[in-house]
Amino acid sequence: MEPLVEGLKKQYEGKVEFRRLNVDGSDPAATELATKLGVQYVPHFTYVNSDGIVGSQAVGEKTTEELKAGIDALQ
Amino acid sequence: MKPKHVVWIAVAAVAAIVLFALLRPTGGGGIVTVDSAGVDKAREAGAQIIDVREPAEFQMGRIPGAVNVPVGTIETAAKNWDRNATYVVYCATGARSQTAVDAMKAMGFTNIKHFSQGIQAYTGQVDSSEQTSQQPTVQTDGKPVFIEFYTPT
Repeated sequence: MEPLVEGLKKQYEGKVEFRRLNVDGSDPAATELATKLGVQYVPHFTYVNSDGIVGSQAVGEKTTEELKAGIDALQ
Repeated sequence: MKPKHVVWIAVAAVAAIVLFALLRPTGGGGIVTVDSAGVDKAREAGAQIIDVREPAEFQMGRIPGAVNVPVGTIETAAKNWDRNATYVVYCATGARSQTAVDAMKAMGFTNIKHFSQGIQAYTGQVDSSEQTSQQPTVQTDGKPVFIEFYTPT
């Protein structure tokens, strides 16, 4: 999913912050957040509004359109 | 060895096989249908709740702890999931979740609890996107945040 997400990152530059978090256990902060958000399977996408409220979450490979729909719903 | 002994050994072997088949641990698995109480029980036991409705429906309200995997994406999404873990699958009325359960069954999943009545029959408190105070929060810099959790392949 990395190329797709990187493409979206450029597209939404300055408007949306993109975070790619490795949850293989090497990044404790990422693992802690994943636990807090109930992440069990990857890829897992979390959409957070500007107030920090989690709007929605989705699991599994997605198309650009599906990811964009989730991001656009935040703005 | 006397023929009589051979017969008894054969009988004992068959009995042992039958007993093993009857008593072997199954992990409470299989593909079963559950009601609302069954969903809560499974969730408390650590089952993953899968909502196979579309994202807009999911946003409006879902069973607490559910993750959204629209039915059209279930085969792709479930590719790397643990085949032996327990999953509760539901949609609005049971039609889409049946499709998802069939797909997961074909993929080799062994412990699926199908909430066939759908979320409309869920008697617990539904987690709604309007109940923002109950939702987890993430630190932001005043901008919306998109997070992808991944593991290196």
